[in-house]
Amino acid sequence: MDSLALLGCFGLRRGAREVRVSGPGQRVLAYLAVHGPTSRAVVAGTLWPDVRQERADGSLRTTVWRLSQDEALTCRNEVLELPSDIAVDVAALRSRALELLAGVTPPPGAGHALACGELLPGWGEEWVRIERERLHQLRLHALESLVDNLLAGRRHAEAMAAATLAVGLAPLRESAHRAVIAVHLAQGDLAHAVLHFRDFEDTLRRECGLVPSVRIRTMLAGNI
Amino acid sequence: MRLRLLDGFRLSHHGRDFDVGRAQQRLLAYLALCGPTARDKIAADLWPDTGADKAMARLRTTLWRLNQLGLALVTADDEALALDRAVHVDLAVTDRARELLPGWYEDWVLAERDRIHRLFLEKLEQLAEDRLRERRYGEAVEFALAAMRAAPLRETPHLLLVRVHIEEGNHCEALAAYLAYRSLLGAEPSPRMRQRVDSIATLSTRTVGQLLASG
Repeated sequence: MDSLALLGCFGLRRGAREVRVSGPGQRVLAYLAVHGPTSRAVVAGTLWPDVRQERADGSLRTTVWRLSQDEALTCRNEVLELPSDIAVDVAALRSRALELLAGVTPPPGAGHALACGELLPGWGEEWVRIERERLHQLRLHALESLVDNLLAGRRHAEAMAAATLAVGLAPLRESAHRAVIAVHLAQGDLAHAVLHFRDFEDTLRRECGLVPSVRIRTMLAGNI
Repeated sequence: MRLRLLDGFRLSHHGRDFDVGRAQQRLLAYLALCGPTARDKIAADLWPDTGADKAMARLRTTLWRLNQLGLALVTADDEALALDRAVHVDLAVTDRARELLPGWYEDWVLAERDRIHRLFLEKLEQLAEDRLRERRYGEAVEFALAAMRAAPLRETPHLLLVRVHIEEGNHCEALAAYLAYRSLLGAEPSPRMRQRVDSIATLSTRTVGQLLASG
């Protein structure tokens, strides 16, 4: 199975063989993996923004030629694309997350399956930053939606695991904390629900100078 | 017959792709984008660097070659040429970025490419707005960030993101999104965006100025 890994760190495999890819090659493959088929002009303009167009086109041409030698990329009508037989880990993660967001009955371990590394850590380009945030947000929304579904099925322990995972990924995010509180309340544990709220309220004030929203207060109406 | 101009030129009929020469591609694309047009205007637009007679001769050759494909693609009267009505042109804007005729730099392509890109952004923003109204926040954020990656400096996607975070009660993320946009711009975003941040700051123990300085 041929695969491209972008979560944690970059890796391209052809069957059992690890393919060595140059820095520019990595950026081109990563860009196409997250954006889908894209024209040469857009790829060159995005990945080589600080040089003149002819120079960017030239750099891209060299990079594309090398990648084609490894059959890691195809080009048709000026549009670059990954070969369809390469499995990309980000795409797999996104499709799992989108299923959870759509509310499918979660299989056991669904939360854990979302807990892989972040997108290309250390890459500082703007397009990577946006894509990283997009994946981060999708993962969090999927976990929160998962908690709702698990609670509806009275699977409290799994729900708590998923909610805790979300809080770990985004400690200042209120909706993640609401998920934890919802699980406590579903278990009839009002004391821990209130304790959790107090902790979150303190943290939010200390770290951001903000207060929790009316939503979280409504959940605990009369008890805080 | 199907003529696709997004993500590259492609002509197919009953599932079979046709190999079309560059001059014939340009004529078909021109008629698809510009509609029925007088012959001399077409010739002048497609071969601007040659004389009128020579350009007309090229147009005739191109038409003749196109007819060799054996498909009734172009209808002609004395004056004008047009795409046959049986040719279905795919220019539909979807939620995936597709570029009009990448690698083509003619004026009549550039303006249309920009228009299609703008329609694509507006579509994503509308989808984000719709999902926000339906309280499907995960999808709303997906569309807002999809628009943002297609046009990172445009304000609307950033504003949408801030609004979704606030509706979800995620004040800290709303503030972080605002600060990230401000630092990307290197300037203050518009007042309508600032108002959103002010609305969460009214609940705060710190002033807006202190909050914004924290980033």
